[in-house]
Amino acid sequence: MAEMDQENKRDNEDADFDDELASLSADEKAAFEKIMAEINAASGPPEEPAGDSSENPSLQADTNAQEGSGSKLASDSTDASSPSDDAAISPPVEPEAPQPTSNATTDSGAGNNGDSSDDAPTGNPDELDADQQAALDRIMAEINSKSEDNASGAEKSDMGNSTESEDLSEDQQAALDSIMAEIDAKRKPETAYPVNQTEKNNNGDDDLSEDQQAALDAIMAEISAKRQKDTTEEEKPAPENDSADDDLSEDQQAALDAIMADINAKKRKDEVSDASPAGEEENAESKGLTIEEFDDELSNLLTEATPETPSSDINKVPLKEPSAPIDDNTQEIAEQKPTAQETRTQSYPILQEIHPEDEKIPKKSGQRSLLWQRGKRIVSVISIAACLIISGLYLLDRYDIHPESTLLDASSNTQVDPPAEPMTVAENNPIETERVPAGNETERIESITRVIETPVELTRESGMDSLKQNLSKAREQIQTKINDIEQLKSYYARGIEEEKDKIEQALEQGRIPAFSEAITDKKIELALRAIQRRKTYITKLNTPNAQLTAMAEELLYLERKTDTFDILSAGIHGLPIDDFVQQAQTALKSYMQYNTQLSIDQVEVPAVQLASIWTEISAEIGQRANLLAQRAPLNRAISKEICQGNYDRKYQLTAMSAETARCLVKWPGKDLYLNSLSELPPDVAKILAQWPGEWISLNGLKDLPAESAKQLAAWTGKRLSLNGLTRLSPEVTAHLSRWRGEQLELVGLHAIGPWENYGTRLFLSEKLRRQLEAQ
Amino acid sequence: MKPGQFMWTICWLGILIGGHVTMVESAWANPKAAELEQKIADIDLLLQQLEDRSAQVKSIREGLAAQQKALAAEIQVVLKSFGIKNLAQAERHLRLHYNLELLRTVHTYMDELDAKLLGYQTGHDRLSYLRQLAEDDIKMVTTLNDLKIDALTTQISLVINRYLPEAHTIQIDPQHLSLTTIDQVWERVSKGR
Repeated sequence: MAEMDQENKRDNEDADFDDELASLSADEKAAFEKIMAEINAASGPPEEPAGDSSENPSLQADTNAQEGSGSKLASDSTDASSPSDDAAISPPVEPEAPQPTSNATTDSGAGNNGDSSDDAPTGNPDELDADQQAALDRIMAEINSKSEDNASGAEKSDMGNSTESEDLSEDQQAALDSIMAEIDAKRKPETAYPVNQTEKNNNGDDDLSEDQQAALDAIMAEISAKRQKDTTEEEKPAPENDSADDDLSEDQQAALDAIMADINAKKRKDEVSDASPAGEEENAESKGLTIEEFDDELSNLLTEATPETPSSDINKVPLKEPSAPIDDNTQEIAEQKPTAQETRTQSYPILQEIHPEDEKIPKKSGQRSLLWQRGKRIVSVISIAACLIISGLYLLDRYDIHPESTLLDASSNTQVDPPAEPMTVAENNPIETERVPAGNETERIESITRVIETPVELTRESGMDSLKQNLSKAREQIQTKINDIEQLKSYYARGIEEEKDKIEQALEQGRIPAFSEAITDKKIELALRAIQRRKTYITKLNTPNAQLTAMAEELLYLERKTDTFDILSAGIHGLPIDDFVQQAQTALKSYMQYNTQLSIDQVEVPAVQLASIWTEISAEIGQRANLLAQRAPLNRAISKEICQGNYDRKYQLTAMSAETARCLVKWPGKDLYLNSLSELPPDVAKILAQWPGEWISLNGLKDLPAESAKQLAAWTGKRLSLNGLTRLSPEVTAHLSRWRGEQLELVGLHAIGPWENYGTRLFLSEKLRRQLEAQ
Repeated sequence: MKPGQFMWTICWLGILIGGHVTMVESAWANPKAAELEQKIADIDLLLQQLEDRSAQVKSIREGLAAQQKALAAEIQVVLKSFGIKNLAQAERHLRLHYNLELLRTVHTYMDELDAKLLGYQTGHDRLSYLRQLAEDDIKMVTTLNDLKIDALTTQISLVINRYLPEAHTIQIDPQHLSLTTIDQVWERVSKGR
């Protein structure tokens, strides 16, 4: 009954064990099978695949009975049931490896050992050699015989198991030790097996013999020890990593933190996903990152994070340290730490600051290299000094900068003259002496100011040239200013004419009233006041204009005198150049001062009385009326002749209507002289511009309206004479300068504005021509 | 070397050495000729220098003449344009006034330069003359035993000293130069109409 109870208990335990085995994963089962195969190999090589053994358990028993003693039948029969169960719960057999069955381990015993040793492949490292196999067979035979004895009572069996090792001979013990050593050696690489699998395997320990159990225990102890070590090492690298983290740079630390956060998140995710069943939890543990995997991932991530410094030891150290605990224990790690630090400190040669003075020169070549370095320094210093000297000489030569001895001084010319002041030229300031636009008065004045106030030390020749340039420039600016004033005067004069026209139009029926009567008319009064104001302006403008003209003449004189001195200084010494320079500087300064204070406010001009203006205007209107009255019959007669085809008296026309102009343009001649004409209305000018001749002479015109000038500019002839004009308004100037004829005569002009058309030959007065040339 | 060749070599060497010694002895033997030759060399140098100065004076004068021509032309235009007939009217016209002022300087220096040029030419002629005399005397001295050359050398020295200051610079002192008056300038301008 006890045996039956024990068998029932074992069956129950086997059933539990089967359930646990069924819950294992494929990897775990494979690992379990491998362990079991090794155990079987340690106890005896399998003879047949599992299927066969399950199918013919009796055959095995018979075979065992034939070879062994005949008293083994009971044990065979008892064992026969369990192997079949073991075979049923055994994991799926992998085709590559012959899967030994559990009944083979329990039942096959020593009876098959003799045959199996012959059949065992010698090349297989898992198989035992012949001697070992023979010793094992003997041992197993003894064990079997003892197990028969033990089958009678459990206590007896236990006693037999406890004394099993004591019963072994020394040879047998040695053989067993060697087998166990082999098993251990094979078990070592399989450290990754999960603990639960070994625990499950422990459930099947009851089916094993004591030797097998002992071997399995030894294996499991090793496995558990390794797992323990792994767990302790998994905990320990953290401070090591921390210490390593301390040594990392900030960027590396940040990268490592990110990686660790990644890994933790992955772990947590796996834990959450596998949280439900216990078996799955264990699988999750087995599937979780081992330290090696962690190291690999960490190293990969670090390599990706810091690709720029692949060879740097800074990156290598933190990668190395986490992997250290796998192979070494904590003490070794502690011992390794300073070594790693040492290697780290030694592995920064690239990043270490290199001090040239710290570099030790080899003793042999030290003296020579020192001399060589000194020589190099001396040569470099000499070359730098030579470069500086050469560049300095070049600059001196390039910019005519000479020492003080070459300055313009009176002693070089005469001992009588006082020491001369430095000449004020702007050769060294080419930007300042650039031609400034005529319109920008402030810039012009500033330019001249700079010219005057900038003392430049130059040679006499260059100083004279520069002085001449400055004088010329100042004179040009004065001339421009004079022209501007002339244009302004012209503008006011035209305004006066316009006001006169208004007054004439305001007169009733052409009657010229007395001043007292005329002043009562508000229009006439305002017109008179406008004329008065403009006349005053014109008069006032004459003063600065005259002053500027005098200055321009003086500057021209100084400029020409500069030429004279320049010529004479080529061979005559002692010329009073310094006095001359002083004089020129004074002139320039006075010009500058005057130009900045250019105003008519200080000019005291008594205003023309309105009465006198009225008298002048009334006289002018009356004279014009009389002239018209006198000339009107003559003009009418000539106009009639012209329209009849007689052009003989055309030059006597003083006024011309549009109708007369239409008749006149039919004249087939080349030259049209109308020098008696005193006015040219725009409509007449428009018709006259259609004449196909070559030369129109209108020298009698004292004034030319802008619209008439515009019409005349459209004429396609070659020569145009307007020598009676003394001034041109800007508008007239603009229109006439657009005329594309060959020759334009304006000899009577006193001033002229900006001229655009340089294709037309312009005839001006000698004075004006020189002024333009000076510009 | 053959004995004949050796003899010829000795002969040639003797001739060369003898000729050289003779020349040195003649120079040492006729110091008057040497003195005259030295004077000739001095004259030649001074002549060259005076020619250089003459060229310089001509160059300056050309420049002044061009300026004078331009100024005179402008004066004529202005005189005609404005109908100016006398100096008083011309003085009131700024351009004329300044041009006349400029011509004062130009005319003065032109006159001075003309005088210098004349003086250089005179000096050139005199020096050339003295040089000829010196050459004549050298021939005489080398031909005859003796000749009085003191008068010649003294005269040469005087002339050289007279023109030596002009050798390097044109000797015109502007401080002691009095400009021509404006009347004189106006007179010239008027003649140029």
